[in-house]
Formats: sequence, C-alpha cells, structure tokens
Amino acid sequence: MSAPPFQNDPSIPGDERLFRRIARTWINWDEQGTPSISSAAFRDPELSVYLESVMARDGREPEDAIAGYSGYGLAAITAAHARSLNQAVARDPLPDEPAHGVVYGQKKRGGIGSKLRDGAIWVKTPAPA
Amino acid sequence: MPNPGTAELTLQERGILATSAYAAYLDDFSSADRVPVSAFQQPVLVTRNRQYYSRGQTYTITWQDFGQPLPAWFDPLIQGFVDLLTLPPNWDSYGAVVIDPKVVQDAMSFIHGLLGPTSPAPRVVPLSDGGLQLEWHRNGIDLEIVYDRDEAPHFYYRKRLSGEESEHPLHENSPLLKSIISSLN
Repeated sequence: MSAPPFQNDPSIPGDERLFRRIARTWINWDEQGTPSISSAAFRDPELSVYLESVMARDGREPEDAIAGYSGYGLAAITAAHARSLNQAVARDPLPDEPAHGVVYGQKKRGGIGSKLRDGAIWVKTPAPA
Repeated sequence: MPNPGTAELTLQERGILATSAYAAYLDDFSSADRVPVSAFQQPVLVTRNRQYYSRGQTYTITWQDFGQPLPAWFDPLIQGFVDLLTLPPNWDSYGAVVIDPKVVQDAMSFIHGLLGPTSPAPRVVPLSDGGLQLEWHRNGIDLEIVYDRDEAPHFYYRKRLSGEESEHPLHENSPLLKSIISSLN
C-alpha cells in the first residue's frame, strides 16, 4: 500500500488560518444579501489552501490570495477544524506560491464538505452578482 | 460541440426533459392543476420550447406536455443547469474541469421526476471534478444531492438543530428523498 501523497504536518498549529478562494458559483446570497458558501467549495480530496503564517512571513495580506481573481471571495478555516474532520494539513509550496498548502483526505462522503464549510468564515466577501 | 453562441438541448440530441420528464409531469400535476375537459375534449400533447441564456450562449429547451403552467422551480432550475454547461475550464481557479453534460442530463431527468408542483427549487452547484450538486437549505434542513463525475449519485441530509444526519444512494431511496423535499415547503 502506497503512502498518501500528503501527511499531516504537526508544525502547522491548530489556530493556523487556511485561506481558500471561493468562486462565485459556490456562493448563495439570501434575501438579506448575506452570502453563504456551498459545501462544494470544500469537497476536493486535495484541497488547495494558503497558509496565513507563510503569507504573513512574506509580508502579504490575506487578500493577496484573491488578487487578480475578480468576483472571488476569500474564506478561512483553521487547521484544527480540518483535523477534527480527519483531514491532514500539509505544506505544499509551489514555485509561484510559497504559501500553498493542502487539506488532504476523503471529503465526498459523510458530509465532510458540509462540516468543513460550517467552520469557514469570510475573510473577504465578494460583491453581490 | 454546440455552435458558438447558441446550442440546443432537445429530446433527440441530448435527451434532456425526455420521456421520464414527460411522465413526471403526468404524475406531478394533480387533478386540480389540470384543465377540466369534457368527454369531447381530450388533453393534447404539445411541443414546447423555452430559451435560456448563459455567458453569451443560447440554449433552447424542448419538451412535450399538455400546456399546463410551469411550476415555480422550472426556470431557476433549468437556468442553473444551463449555467453549469457554459462554465469554462478552471472555473474555480484551482484547475476544475468543465461540467460533464451527461451528468447534467442525468440530474435533470432525475430531479424533474422528483419535484412536485410546489417544491422549492434547489440551487444547482458545480463540482470541481465535473459533477454537480443540488442543494436546499431550508427549515433547518440541509439537503444535498451529489453527482460526482465518476461515482454513483447519493444524497446527504442533515437537521441543523439536532445534528441528525444520514447519507443514501440516490436511486434506491427516491421515496425517502421525496418525503424530505416535501418537508422543505
């Protein structure tokens, strides 16, 4: 049996905020104009996120994660919340994005996507469509 | 491949609103919804068209029914499906693939057979793997019908207050799903 591609990294603290861009198609505005996020935004087995501490180390604001992405919102979950749902939280720096990380694990069953979404807060809400 | 700027969703080409949807209308519309006819007036099937626009493309939906009023969920639901069909690659900015038209067709056929005339419309939401999900969040209930691209569809149900939740294969549990949807009104 091969090892999973990502292992939980204990050097990432539980209160680390993990940022995720939220596409407009994943947002529902209610009658009061309040945006809510679909669980579909959190169902990828290898969920790409930005690690706040790495962005801060490099002098970057959270909103930098949606710079150049018109219409997108930015949401955050904590590493502890992801781990509580049996997810691994790992660093995965990319050549053009050193803050890239992955929340790794099964999310398609057991309402995991919904439960991850429940722990998400808006960092930057998008403008209504 | 649809022509640039326009596309058709017809019974022949894509099977959307095909026989199963026609049968669903017969089931869904109660006698109160039907126009009374005398012995000399038989209901007549008519072919109907409706156009939907999304990201510069026009989709024409064609189906047959008896000319009855469309339920309130019809337009938002079909618009939701059409909006998925026009999403470009990488629509989520994380490498998402385009939504599989067959998944859209399967979901349309199924949901039209399930919704009643007064059912609330679900939100139609794309999945990064090319699938889709239908969502309701009403009356303290979260209900999601999930069509992952390469997996059997299922639905997930949760009562927000109590946390009670369950998950079921879709096609074997239509009566349960129908009763949950009726509780959303």
